[in-house]
Amino acid sequence: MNGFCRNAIAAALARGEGLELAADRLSAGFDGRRTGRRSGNALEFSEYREYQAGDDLRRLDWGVYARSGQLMVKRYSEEVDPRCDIVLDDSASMAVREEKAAAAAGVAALLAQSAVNAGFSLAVWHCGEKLEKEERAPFPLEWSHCDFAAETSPGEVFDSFAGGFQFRGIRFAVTDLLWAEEPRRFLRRLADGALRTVVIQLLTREEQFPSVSGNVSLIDAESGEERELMVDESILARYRERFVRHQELWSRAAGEFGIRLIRLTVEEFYPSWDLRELFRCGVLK
Amino acid sequence: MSEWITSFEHPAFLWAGAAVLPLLALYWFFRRSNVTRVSAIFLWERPETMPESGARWQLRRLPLSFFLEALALLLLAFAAASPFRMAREAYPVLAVVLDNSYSMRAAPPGGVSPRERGAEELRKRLARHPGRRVLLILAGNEPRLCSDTREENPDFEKFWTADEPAADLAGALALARMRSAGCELLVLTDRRPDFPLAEDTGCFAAGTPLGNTALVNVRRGAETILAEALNASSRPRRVQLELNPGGTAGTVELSPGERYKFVCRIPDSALAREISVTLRTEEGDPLPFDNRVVLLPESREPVRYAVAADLPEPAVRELDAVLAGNPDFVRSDDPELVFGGPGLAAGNHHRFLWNTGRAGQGSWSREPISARPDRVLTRGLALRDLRWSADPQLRLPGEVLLRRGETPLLSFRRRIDDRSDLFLNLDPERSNLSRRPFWPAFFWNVAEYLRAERPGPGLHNFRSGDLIAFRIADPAVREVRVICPDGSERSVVPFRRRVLLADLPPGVSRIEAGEEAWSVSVLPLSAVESQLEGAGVFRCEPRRVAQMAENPRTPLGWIALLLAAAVLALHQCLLGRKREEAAK
Repeated sequence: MNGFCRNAIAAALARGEGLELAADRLSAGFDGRRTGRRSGNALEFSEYREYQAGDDLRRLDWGVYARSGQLMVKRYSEEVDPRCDIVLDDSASMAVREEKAAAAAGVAALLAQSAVNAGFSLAVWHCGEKLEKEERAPFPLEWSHCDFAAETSPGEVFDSFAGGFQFRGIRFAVTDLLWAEEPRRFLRRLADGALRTVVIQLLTREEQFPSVSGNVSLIDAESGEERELMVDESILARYRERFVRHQELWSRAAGEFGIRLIRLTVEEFYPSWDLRELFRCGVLK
Repeated sequence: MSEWITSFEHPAFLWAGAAVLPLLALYWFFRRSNVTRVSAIFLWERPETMPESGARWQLRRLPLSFFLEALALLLLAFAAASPFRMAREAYPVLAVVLDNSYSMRAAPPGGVSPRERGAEELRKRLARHPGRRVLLILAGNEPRLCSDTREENPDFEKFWTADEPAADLAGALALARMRSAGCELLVLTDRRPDFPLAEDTGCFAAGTPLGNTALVNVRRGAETILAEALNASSRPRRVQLELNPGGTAGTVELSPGERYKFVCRIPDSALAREISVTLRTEEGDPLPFDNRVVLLPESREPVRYAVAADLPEPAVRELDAVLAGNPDFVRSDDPELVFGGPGLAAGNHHRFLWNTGRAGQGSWSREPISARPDRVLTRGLALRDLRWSADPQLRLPGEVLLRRGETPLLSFRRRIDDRSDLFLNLDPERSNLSRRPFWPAFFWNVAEYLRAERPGPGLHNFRSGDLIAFRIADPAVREVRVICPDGSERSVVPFRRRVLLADLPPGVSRIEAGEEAWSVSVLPLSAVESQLEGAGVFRCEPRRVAQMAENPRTPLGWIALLLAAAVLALHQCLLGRKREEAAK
């Protein structure tokens, strides 16, 4: 991790101090610190219900039976241990500008800290040449990766990912979604078994509205492919057209899988760490 | 062959055309590609041709304005060079001075000699202006004109032999100017000339400084050979002298610049044969030419003389004293030379007529004695402190060689039978000549002169550049043939039985005159020419050629100037149109 990213993470952690990940719809897990939506074995009383055949007789409230003659069964809330997986795109396209890399690392760190604050069981995944689990996940400043040098897109990495995300947890992916492969495969694998999936797409303004002109030699950050172009207004227009189509494709695919897609512009988000969009979308509280 | 020759008055301005390169650099600099890293290249349009194959730099990327500006620049450079056309006859003559010294053969191992480079350059220049009149002048021991031609490919290599021990470049340039005033001169040599070149003279020197070892002096005596070796390099060299026949004569290590004299005895079996002398070095030698000579046996028969009875006793005494210890004279009954008094009758021999004067009539004075310095008989004579008593009234026939005031002391006359008479006016009893160096030296000269009067060359080994003068016996011979070492022949017409040969090539040549035949060996030896450290590269072009300025011609530069103006106008027009489009 370079100094620029470390500083960005430190700044993001300072900004997100005390924030928690919003987790109001959690309903699964055992022996956790949160009460789930379903009934369970927790000590916290939830409601009464009429006795039905097969209910555990130990749950019968004999006091109620004595007062009302009705067989009522006590129900307790299910206790869950909330889980959170954060996937950080470590590919080279995330570092096409330093600010973009810093923003990505900062968002991931902020989400990690919020998850810890909210008592989540946290797992951070670096999506470089392969998906690698961060051992020091709760401590973003000690993350071992974040070098943003991978020449493989997350789309390709997920194709060969055998699984390992926490079941029925919240999953975040911090990426730019700028790869040419079909989005459904990536999203299907990302959302598989998750209770909730959020993709945070980080893009620079230059990626959305390029301003290059004249003779340019374009070099792809990941593949190294080079193109000599004489960029004029028509070429820029065609770029914007393709970009919009690309974004629509991802939006549609995310909708199909019930994935929340949050789009952040690097220049607006960093370095002020404007978290309004994350609050608005119910990611943080 | 074209009737016209097109050339440039200031060809150096053609280099201005190289300004196209900075222009190209400027265009490329301002239109260079900005390298931009992007996250998603697939969103960008794919160009028509991909850079994965083919030329990376594509000429078509340059705009039309570049080509127009480049064309205008080239046309302006062309105009500045002042092109012109001249009738073939009016085009300046090119006089080429070819350095014929043997240092032009020197070449590093596997390298090219200055002569080969010069020949290549000359071929190029001749091909540039076919039909031009070209004088080829060889600068050797003496400058000489070899060719005056309009051929495009004159065979100059057949006479550019590069085998002489000196190159008279200045003399060759003077000869060229004499042959064609105002011509363009070009010197092909191996080093920068040691005199300033005139503005009409160009030079192409393509030599390489090299360390060399050489034989710089070789002389053959009756039984010995003296050979002097020179190490003309900056490092010590080990050299070995070999005689053939005779084998190795000595090995020595020479320090830089050192000369070493080998004295070798000639094997008995080779006393009457030719001997080759070769200097070998352990390291390679860049110029083997100056490491080997062939020496012919030198046989110098003494002059056969007799003394006539009419020669007075004091003169006989003096003669006996000086000739007794002189190996160049031998008394004979079949004499070539007869010493006698003034009344000695002519015969089939030369005469030495000694007038000793009548008793008491001789006189001497302190008046200085003067001599004709350019005659063999007076060469090297010491005339100071001579007490020469002579008859002042005596008048000697023929050409006077020595005189004191009005008194002739020695004279020479060629008789009608081609024999010589020497007249001496000397009273030996009242003179001190016999006790001075004059006296033996004078008789050495007499012997030398008389040997030269014999048929054939007096010597058989000559240094390159020496004139070989000799007489033939048969007055009926009308042509003398010389067969050179390479087998070529040349013929010389004798004049009054005398033959003069100059510039014989190195090696053994055979001279044939009727029934008579002799061999002579020419030795290419020169310490100066064997010094190759001074060779180098030097090139210059003539700045002004008089014939170029004076002879009628048609200038063509204005055409290029007009074209350049038209191209620039078109360029401006296109730019204006572009600006208008941009404004819209």
